[in-house]
Amino acid sequence: MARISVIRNTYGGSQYLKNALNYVTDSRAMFVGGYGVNPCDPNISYDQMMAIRRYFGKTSGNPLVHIVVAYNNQVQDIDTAAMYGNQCAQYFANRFQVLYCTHAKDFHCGNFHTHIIINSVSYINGQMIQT
Amino acid sequence: MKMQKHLRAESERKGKVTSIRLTEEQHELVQKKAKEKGMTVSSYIITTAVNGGNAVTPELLVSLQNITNEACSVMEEHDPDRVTAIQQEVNELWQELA
Repeated sequence: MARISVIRNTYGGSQYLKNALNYVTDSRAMFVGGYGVNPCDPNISYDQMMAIRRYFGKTSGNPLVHIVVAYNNQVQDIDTAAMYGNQCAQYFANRFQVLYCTHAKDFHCGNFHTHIIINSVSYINGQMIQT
Repeated sequence: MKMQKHLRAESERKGKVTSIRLTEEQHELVQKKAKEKGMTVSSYIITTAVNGGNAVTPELLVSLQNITNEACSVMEEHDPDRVTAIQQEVNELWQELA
């Protein structure tokens, strides 16, 4: 079991996207992965997400969808938590750029949780994500 | 509490309307291609016209980035400096999309 929170209405435009990418990849991140973005550098991830948005003429509007998956106590190690995080990220990766980071417990249930940041503009056709 | 709305920037509002002439065959082809992409005919024509001269596409770059990420995850333990260099080289290709 896991508890899933979806933050879908985010305001503040592209600055919110930048802040979110920096927040989830900060020193607490124990595992970072990405699809369609460079997971090693949040500033490059941001540029790559903005490049897609510019290509389709959609730099304004809701910048991202942020999902937090908090695992229960059955998930006892970072490898398992990262694997589940990867599986969740893959669900969106065939249409959207995704950066995901697994953290140790700090505010949710269980020992680990994964933040998944999804660019709200599809790299396939420029459509906004529907949640 | 008043709900905030996601407003499109003034510069991104599509306020202009134009019409184009097509043959029956061209019209069918454009409709088919737009449908394949999951786009409206209008969005498809705009995206193709505005970015048409660009050899790199979002799909191509995302695929390249995913292959790079996978390769780098294998290399990371042995040569982290090279991983950074490779990611920078790929990022230079991303600049071509803009």
